[in-house]
Amino acid sequence: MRDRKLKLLPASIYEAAATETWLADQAKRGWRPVRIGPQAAKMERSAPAECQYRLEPIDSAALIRDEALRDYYTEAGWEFVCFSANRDFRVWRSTRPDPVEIHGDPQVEAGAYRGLARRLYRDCALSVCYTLLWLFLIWPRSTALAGRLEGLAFAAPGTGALLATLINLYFLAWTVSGAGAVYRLRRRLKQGIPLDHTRRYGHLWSRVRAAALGLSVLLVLLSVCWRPSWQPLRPDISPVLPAAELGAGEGGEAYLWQGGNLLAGPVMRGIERGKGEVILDTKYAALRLPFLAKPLLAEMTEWWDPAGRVTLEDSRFDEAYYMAGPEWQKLALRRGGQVLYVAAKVPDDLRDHISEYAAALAERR
Amino acid sequence: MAKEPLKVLTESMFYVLLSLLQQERCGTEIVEFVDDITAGRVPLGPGTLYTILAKFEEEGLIRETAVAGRKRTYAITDRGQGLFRQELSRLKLCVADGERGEEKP
Repeated sequence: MRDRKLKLLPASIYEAAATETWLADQAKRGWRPVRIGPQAAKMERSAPAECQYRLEPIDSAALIRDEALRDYYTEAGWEFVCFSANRDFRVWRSTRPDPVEIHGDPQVEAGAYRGLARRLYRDCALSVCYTLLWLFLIWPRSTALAGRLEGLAFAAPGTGALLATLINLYFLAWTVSGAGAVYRLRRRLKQGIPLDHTRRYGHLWSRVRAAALGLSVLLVLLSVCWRPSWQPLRPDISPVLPAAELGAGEGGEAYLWQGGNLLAGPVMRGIERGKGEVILDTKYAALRLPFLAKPLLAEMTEWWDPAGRVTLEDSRFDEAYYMAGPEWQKLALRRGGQVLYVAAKVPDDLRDHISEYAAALAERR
Repeated sequence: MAKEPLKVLTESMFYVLLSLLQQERCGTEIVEFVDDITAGRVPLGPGTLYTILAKFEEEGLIRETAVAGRKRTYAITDRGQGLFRQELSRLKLCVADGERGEEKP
């Protein structure tokens, strides 16, 4: 059997009482902590023992200067185990049934939590500012990161911006919950209510937390690993997108990509090449969150020349736009959560085929 | 977050200042004094004592006077004496009010 193991903490480390009872339970099973992090604890094998643990908040990172005071901890029945990650707590253990409680005065203990509380509130504020900066400044402006809706819909999910946002949101939630736990604890201590060191951690809650963490990791890995597949369009298979029939020209070749992801649902993209250049590019998506279709279409048409943009009045679509440039024509259609975007360098006017597009959307609804 | 200056002393804080009123003491001597004078009613845990001593030094209520081997000795300052007397007066008033309240119907 392995002598060391990494175990997920059942609750936030800032829920000190729950962490203490969990460590005591682990000691009964023959595990003692080597290092306690914010999420998990590195444990090593030891003889099963009945003991108590205490997490003492550190107001400053300095060691206790007074060596005699350090001796007093020993006299009171406490053995130093380790510092927690971020040096937020000193972890003590006692095998005595009735040690002198490390903190017997709740209001003094509230003062001991002051430094930790200030650090957490500061981290909380920084995390909120960073998240807002990320969401409102970087996401709408970035094309290179491919983290915009169009990138999410038509590129592989798990782009850098999506991953970074998920991780950012996770740490934001973690920081806020930690600050909230310490705030509630300090409020009770200031009222003179001592910490209940027998408080149990919820077994169900710890399993839910472990499952949620595992699922998040799995989703992130799946999103990184998923890639769209390109397959050449075979002549014996009817084109999925009617635009693929337009003006392919002699010696042209067409590619059709079909896929989907958590956001976009069924996604198709067709590219047709004639004489070595792309002459037709079609994108279709049926979003699983229909309210995102309007901003997606707005994003896809935001660089159109306003002077050349024409709004088409057609009751079959919620939105329909057309633009003709010197070489390219573009058509953007939306019905509910479905979005169809066509860019073509062909002699046909795309507006003459709008009924085919309506039929294609109806067929795929 | 603004620093919260000490205004009202908790029981533990009161007894720590009391222990230094007449003479300088080290940490363990403070614990023994408080245990004796309260007959064990007010236990001073190591975390409580360490936090109080650090807070009192920060507020200028006590000062470290000597380091002899593993022991550090503390003495009360004028400011600490003033705060102690203020708290003692407040407690005396509370006791007097309480006794008056008991006598009156």
